[in-house]
Amino acid sequence: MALIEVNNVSKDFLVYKRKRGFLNSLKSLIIRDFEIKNAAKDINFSIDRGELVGYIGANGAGKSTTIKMLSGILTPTEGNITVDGRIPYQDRKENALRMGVVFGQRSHLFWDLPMVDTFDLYKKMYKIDDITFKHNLEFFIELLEMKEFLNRPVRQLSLGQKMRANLAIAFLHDPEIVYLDEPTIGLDVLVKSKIRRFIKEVNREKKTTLILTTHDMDDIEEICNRLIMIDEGKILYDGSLTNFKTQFGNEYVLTIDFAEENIKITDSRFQLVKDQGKRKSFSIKRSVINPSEAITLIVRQHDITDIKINEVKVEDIVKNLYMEGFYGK
Amino acid sequence: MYFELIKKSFMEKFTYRVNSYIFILGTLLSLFILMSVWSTLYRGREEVNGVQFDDMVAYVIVNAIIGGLIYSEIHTNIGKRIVDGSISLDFIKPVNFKAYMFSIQLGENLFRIIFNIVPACLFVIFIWGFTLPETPHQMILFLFALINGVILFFYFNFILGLLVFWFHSPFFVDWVTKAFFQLFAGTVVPLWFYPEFLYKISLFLPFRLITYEPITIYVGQTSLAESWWIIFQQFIWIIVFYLLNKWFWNKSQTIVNIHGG
Repeated sequence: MALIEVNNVSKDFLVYKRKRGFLNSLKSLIIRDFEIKNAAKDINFSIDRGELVGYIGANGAGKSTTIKMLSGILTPTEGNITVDGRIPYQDRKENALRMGVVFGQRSHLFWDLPMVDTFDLYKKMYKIDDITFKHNLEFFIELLEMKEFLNRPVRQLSLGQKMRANLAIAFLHDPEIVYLDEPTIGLDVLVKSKIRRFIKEVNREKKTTLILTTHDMDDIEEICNRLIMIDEGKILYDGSLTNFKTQFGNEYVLTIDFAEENIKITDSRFQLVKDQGKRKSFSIKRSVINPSEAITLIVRQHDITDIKINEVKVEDIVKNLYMEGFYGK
Repeated sequence: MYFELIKKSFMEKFTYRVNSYIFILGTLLSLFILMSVWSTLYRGREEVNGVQFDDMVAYVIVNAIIGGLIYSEIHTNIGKRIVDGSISLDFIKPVNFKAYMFSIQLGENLFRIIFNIVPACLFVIFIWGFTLPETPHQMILFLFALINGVILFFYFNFILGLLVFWFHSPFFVDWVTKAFFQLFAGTVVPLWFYPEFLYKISLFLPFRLITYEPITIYVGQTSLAESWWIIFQQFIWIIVFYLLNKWFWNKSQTIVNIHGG
């Protein structure tokens, strides 16, 4: 059986409608209109031990709602969830002992104390034995480079430093599953790469299952091997990252430096996207011609000095999907 | 673990020293004003309504210390956490939420009592003197009643905090608590001096059991039998609050609605 099973899960929220104007505000004291918002509609997936799953979707798509149901904060309106054989929202305490959560926008740390104090507390809270605690702490401090600010009060730390501490807390008790809700939000490139390295390393070392939501597609590309995409509460894609790229990013860009100017390619399969004199870029559908065929075709007819193939990045695919909807317009 | 929490929140309080000094000054001033008023009212009289001046001094001091012990931001904290959604972090900790909140508050309160209220009280004692209970069993009963009172208070406080799940606004909570306490618990004027009808009303409410009644045991206003009757009433109310609390807590779990991302 899979570690996490999500079956036909829906979650509705009541949203009260506010109308403009003073009279309407008065009226709302007595009668309030509300509508039901489906934050999640009939979600199904299962995740195995040790998987690194990227969970993406536009703002308000239902990512955090799903994470909150998995971690036992919210109860689904319909359907059922089991995590390692437990129902998270009923067996909240047991479930909490075996998972770690990082919310990029919230912090576990004691504001006025150094982070080591918070670590001590979590050691007691999760009943971590001395050896594991010491071993993990050393490993994390090393990996996240936290040594220099370990004893500084948390309020004097930068966002990146606090985030790293929160990450360490989430992994401190060797949880089986860690939910990372936008762990790299608002962080600089350097810290981001430290965090990514950390996540990958811990997953490799301890076989921790990870579910990661993010808006930074580089996170996904570097960390995850599986992708679940959600929009308006529905799952749109669930599969491997490579498959995602070939399915939705079947275009690639060929940039060619020709030897002479004024070259015209009449072949309709080559779509000119950028013309810089000698250098021209073409967008080509992989399903029509694959890169090697395309290059052979060009080289046979023209003299060229340089050639470059650019794969479409996940970021671009996702951008397109958000803008145009999943099935195009 | 909860002991560790108490320790941490106690330590955290050391950060803001100026805050601490101002608090001492504030406590000192309010105690001083209160004592001045009482000593003026007692001028030339041995006792008023059967209450001696020494008992009054003891009342003010013990009341200040209990006040420090039951000082609570739990209700506003829960309220704020519900409104801004950070309560989600509390729900994913493998701890008892109530005990967790209580431990943090207790750590802060112990700090406040030791470093703020006791110094201020020493000043009052220096001027007006202070009497200990006459018999040891009076003291023991007082401590017993005091602990019950604190438990009672925090249950009440916790229920108020949970109400924010339904009302979505934490502001009323503080207001309600303060109003009830100042009127029915005798934190400003002891119930000894209340008009008949107000006293009758407060008899039916639990609030007097938190500060007023333990102090009456302390100053020896109650007989042994009466003291036990007070403690019995405290137990009844604790059970009532415990059940209410449980009911509210279970209810709130199903309607949890976390805001903001």
